[in-house]
Amino acid sequence: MTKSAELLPGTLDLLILKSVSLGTLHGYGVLLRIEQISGGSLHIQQGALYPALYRLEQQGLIESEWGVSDNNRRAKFYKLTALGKQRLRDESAGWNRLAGAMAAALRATSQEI
Amino acid sequence: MQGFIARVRSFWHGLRKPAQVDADMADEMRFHIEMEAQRLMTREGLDAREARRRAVLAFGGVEKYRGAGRDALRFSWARGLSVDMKLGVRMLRKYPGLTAVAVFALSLAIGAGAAYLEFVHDMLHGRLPFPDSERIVGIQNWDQQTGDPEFRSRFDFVTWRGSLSSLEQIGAYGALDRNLVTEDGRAEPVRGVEVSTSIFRVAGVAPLLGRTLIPEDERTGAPPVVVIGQDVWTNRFASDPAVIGRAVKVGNAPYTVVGVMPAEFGFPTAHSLWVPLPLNEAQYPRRAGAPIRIFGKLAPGMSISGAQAELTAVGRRMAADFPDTHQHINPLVKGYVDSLWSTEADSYLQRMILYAANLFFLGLLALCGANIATLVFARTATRDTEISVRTALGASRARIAGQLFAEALVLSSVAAIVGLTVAFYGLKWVKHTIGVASGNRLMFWWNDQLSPQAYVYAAVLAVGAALIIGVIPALKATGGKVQERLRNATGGSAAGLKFGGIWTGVIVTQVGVTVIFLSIVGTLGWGLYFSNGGNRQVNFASTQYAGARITMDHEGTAEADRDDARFRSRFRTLFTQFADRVASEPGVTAFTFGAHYPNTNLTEMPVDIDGVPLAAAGERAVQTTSIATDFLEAFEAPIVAGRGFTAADTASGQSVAIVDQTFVRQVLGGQEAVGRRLRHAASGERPAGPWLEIVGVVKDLTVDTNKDKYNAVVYRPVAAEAMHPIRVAVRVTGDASPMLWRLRVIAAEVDASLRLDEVLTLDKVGTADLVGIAFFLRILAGIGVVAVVLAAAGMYALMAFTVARRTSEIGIRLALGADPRRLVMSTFARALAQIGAGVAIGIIPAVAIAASLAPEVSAGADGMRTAIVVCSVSAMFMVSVTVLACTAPARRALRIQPIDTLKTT
Repeated sequence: MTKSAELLPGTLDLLILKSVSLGTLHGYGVLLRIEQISGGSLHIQQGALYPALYRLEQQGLIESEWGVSDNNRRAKFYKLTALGKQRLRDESAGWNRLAGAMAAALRATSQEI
Repeated sequence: MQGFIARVRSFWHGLRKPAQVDADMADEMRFHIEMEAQRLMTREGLDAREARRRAVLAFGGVEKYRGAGRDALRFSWARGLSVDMKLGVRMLRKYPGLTAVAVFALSLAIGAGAAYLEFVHDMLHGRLPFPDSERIVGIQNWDQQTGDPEFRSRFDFVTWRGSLSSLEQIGAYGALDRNLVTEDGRAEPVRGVEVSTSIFRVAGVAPLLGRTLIPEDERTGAPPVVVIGQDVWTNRFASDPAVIGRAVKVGNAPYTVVGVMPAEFGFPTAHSLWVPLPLNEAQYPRRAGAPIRIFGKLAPGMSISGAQAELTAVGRRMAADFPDTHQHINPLVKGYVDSLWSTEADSYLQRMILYAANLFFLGLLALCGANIATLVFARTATRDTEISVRTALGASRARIAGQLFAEALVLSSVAAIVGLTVAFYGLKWVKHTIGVASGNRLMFWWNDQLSPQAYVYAAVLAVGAALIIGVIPALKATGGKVQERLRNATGGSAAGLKFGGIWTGVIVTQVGVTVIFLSIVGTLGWGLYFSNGGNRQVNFASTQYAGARITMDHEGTAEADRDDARFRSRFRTLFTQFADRVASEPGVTAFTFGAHYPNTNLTEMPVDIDGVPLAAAGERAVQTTSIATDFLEAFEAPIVAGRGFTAADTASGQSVAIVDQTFVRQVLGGQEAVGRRLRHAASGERPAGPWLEIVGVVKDLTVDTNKDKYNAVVYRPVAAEAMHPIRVAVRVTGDASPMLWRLRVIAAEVDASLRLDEVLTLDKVGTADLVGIAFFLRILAGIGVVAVVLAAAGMYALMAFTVARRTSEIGIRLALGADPRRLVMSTFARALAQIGAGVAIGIIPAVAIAASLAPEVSAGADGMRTAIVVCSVSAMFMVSVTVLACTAPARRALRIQPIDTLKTT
């Protein structure tokens, strides 16, 4: 089992947007998708997913619809809106810049100074 | 934008179905836990119970995340608001007195404001009930030099017709006030127009019966046809379906009825008869001929400014071609209803004034709001403990103010709904009253529906009122130190909230303003009742006199027909025939005429008297009227000195007058009148009139114990041909009512161009004038009632508040043996001081305003005396009402049992 990392504040929203960008999902599906795409290395407090989903829906980044799950149970499905796609692009780029900068900073050796 | 819409939708959803949203959230989380348990069972082989326990644990507190979910949806706020609203509704029921007073006052203020806006809107921006009504325009020539409209525009009309590309249709109309004479000989005036037949194509309104006017009817030599309105069809033809094809006369001209229009068609404003206006000449004289007004319909897609640009160009060209007549003429295009208003500058000013009058209603609302805020504050004070505890528990000031605002909003919304109902019925009543007073149909585009603007305005007023009555008390109640107030709250009764300066100011102002208001209403009412005809006593048997106003049609439209001398000679001939016929009717004992009837308002005249120095110009006004030489005789008024008029007195060069006894007593101070000379004094631009010799003194025709100089009357003789229109009076033996229709029949038999209106027995004359004043007075009285109720309620609230606050103090003092009555008096003292202060502030402006109004309305009665009487009565009334309002709380104070209050302290 790989070591799991704690989420940085603000990154849950980005992960949710990424997950639903890959296909329409219900809340539990979002959890599984995040575990899957992060290789199970990110630890999420499961309940915290829901306030985040509602907040994103409030902001118009995702939209929801009631439907039926694989096991024939009523479930609420989320998908990305146009506004959400835009936001995902912006945030991903921002995150990559930050991650790159952080990685570069942490690689620095005494010779480079 | 998208994000905003999503938010609003979710908020609205939460507000509307909070339980549903909550249940959905729970279901979603349950689903999550079930799925997780399933996975644990298959992957780790746990039994169902253990799997579920682990799943719940992993989820981490369903309730916690549901709360967070609600917050994320802004749902708690929505639910808070909905709870506040429910609490507001509960408050309405819990304090029925406050609810009743507040709804009563606010609904009148909101209703009056909305009704007024609707009225102005209807008047200024009314839309004709026709298809594409926004494309219908009025076109008017203006003389830029004088700033006056130029209605003599037949020349312009035929020039424009067919040459304007911005207008799809163009037409004109001219007034046609004529008798409509039916086959049975009945002749009654009808408001009609000669109109281009294109109006019926523009209107697109189908006739009720028969057909509308068509272009062929305008051709030279076409048979004369007329279309009548539904009201004429009902009143004059008893709604007979066989009316089509009937022969009638319009004035003296024969016509055939070809159609009946429904009631919703009254073009141009309130008309009921239409004949074609043939304008077939290639050219008419410029700036000459009978007046017309021009209307048109814009071509599709054309704007008013586009049409204006074209007409301005046409106007410039005509000004260049015909500088003698058209140098300063400029045609203006406006929306149809707009175009009926006069000059541009005028109408702008009129509009501003009309809309600005709304400030009065806003002021009324603010005053009502401030008063109700007093009451709400007093109620809030009784909830001091609740508010202090909530504040201590962490509720923000905004949250508590929000709650009180929501409560106030519920109150003002109820008031707005009631107010709109009031506005709806009020407007119906106003329009009906105007219709009765003017004796005409109303503008045909007026309807009884309120416009969306009125609803929006009422909603804005309701929110404004809620801000005043909810937020101000809330801020006052939540200000100050919580700890101190908590201590007071838990400690019982020592003064916590104070009924401070601002509220005292409101109550004092209220009492003062109410005194002023009652005085104004009282003075106007006094004037109406005692002097303005409402109760005018006369010295003759008015029921035995039939009266009518006679006008003769100007036949034709050519200048020659309008020649004054010919018109007058024709009028003299016809009037003499009419007079002879009436005088020979059985039962008629006298026939006379004059400019006024004795029991109506005459003409005011400033007078100079030879050899009698008179005071300032304003002090020398008397009444005057022109009468037939046998007028005084016909009204059985005896000559008490000198002689009556003779036929010779109307000859030119004769300058004589008769005065009444009031003139002798009040103006001449009882001196000899016969032989003196008087004249119309110079006033403003007008030079003094010729000297008239007083040849006789007649007994007063009206009775009034308060007559002064202003009521004195000067009679001057006049011949029938010198007057037009003319008022006739016929004395009969017995009741004069049957004579009324005889007058119409005789006039129609003499000549159909003699039009009779105001056909009434003389006891009814003047009452129509009262409708307008009575209407105005009723509105003022309504506002007066609101003011009194509010003042009384405010006083009640103050006293109730004081008694509640001082319950334990009073109890202790009673226990210590204080005299209960003196105690109550001390509680009362503040209320009495406020009433006293209010009356003192109000009484001086009240007397001043009333005194300035009194001479206007009481026709010369001693203005100051009237003012003082009315104002004293108003002040005393105000004191009694407010003192009465204090009695219930005072009695409550008297019933305080020392032992009870000591127990709770």
